[in-house]
Amino acid sequence: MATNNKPLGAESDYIKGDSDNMVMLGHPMIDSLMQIVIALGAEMWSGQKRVKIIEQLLATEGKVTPQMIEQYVPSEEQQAEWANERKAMVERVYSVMSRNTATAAPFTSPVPR
Amino acid sequence: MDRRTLFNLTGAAALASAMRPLAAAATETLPLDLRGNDGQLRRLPSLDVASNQEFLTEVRTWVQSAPEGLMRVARARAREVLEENGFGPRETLPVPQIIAMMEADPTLMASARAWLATQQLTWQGVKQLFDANQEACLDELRAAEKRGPGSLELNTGMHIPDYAKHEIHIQPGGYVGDPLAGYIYHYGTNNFFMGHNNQDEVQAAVAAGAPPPTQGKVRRILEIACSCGQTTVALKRRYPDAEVWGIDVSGPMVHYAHMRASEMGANVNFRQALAEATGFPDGYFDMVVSFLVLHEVPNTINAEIMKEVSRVLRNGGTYYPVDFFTSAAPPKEAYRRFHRWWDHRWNGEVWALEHMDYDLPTDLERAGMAVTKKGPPASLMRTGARGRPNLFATKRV
Repeated sequence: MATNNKPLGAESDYIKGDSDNMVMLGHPMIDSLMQIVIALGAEMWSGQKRVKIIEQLLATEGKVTPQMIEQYVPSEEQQAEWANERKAMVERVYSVMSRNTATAAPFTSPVPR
Repeated sequence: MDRRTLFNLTGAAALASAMRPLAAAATETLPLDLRGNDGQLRRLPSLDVASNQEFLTEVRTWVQSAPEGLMRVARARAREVLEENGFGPRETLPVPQIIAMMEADPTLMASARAWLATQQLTWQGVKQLFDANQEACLDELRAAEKRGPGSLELNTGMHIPDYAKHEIHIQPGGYVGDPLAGYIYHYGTNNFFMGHNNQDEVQAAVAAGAPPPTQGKVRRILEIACSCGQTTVALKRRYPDAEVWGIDVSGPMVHYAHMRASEMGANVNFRQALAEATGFPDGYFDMVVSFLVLHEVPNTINAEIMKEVSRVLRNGGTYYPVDFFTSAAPPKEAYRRFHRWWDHRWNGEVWALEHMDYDLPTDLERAGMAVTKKGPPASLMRTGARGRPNLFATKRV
């Protein structure tokens, strides 16, 4: 049971799960790598989106401040365009995982002739 | 205008300050209203964390439902695995036997692990953000406690049963253990709905589908296990003259639900209470609704909940439960049962596996309600009109 020594609000104690320890891919480091590549994709998209906003602000306002970037509201057209780019990026980067592993050749298999 | 020209328009210092390190975003203290609203959803107070969440939603959507996504591929692979072991795709097999066949297959395990990674990263992102802004969140929660319209009843000393203390969906701290659980749940579950629920569209569809009693007015409505109050507010919008209540075992959830409802001007009432012990008088409500609750509690407790629902309903009152198996039968297909297993074991769905065997209609009948198996449509992921007929129950006169 996990407890909060000094409740801050309306919380109570709770039962901590163990999902941080899951091993589904044969080795905990491979599991970690799966998480890392998805996290890196998210970080990269965040950077790309920030650049898009900066470019847009510079083009329309001629200046940029951190607050303008944070508060930027994309138009519906931009939202749709960026959503398509995001979808394409996910498919481009991760679709290799969809390959058929049933026909995967072992490392020491002979070269096809 | 090319990028070089654009960048020459402004000072390098301004750009440098705009391009802050991404890692800073999740741990930065920011005004909670910094980024304003998108409709009725307050935008996450960090562009970078919001962008992260968008991307994780996109990955989840690709894994879960894209035509060439991982789960479609995994499902096809599961059929091959079954065939290799001499079984047909629709054969009913015990879960341990399914696990033994499938747990070594890289495609099946990668699809599960990728999905779980998006889940872990989703929670991590929103929790870090709100934790960094904990004081501001707690301040606004406390400031809203006595604010109307509507009311809040926190019962912080109440006994919380162990079954409700788990980190359901691997949400850090679970529903009850984090003072900001309402914030974390609300923004984290937007990822679950894969971009289709930022304006509470699913909860609005549930409220729209809830069948009213055939006789008499709808004067009082209860949502049991209301979490952050999205369906409760939607019920009030459908029945603006009714007295509407939402109850939940989680204090942090109803705390957040009340704050959000009051900000939205919704005159609804929230109470921290168990679904099996609501504290309302006999026959008080005309309608009771629940959304995605039954699979989060043990079957034995569900039986108690059905008795309580029947007790607080007036004769002829209706109960509309929307959950995994209220509009569709539990899965028989081995791949889907395998999915249910890892969701149970590694996604904190502690009670979801035994829920596959839960006989809701029998418990409703035993509690004194008549069951209509094909009621208004409901869907867990999209608007109700696109769902299958969902069961509902009517308190016997």
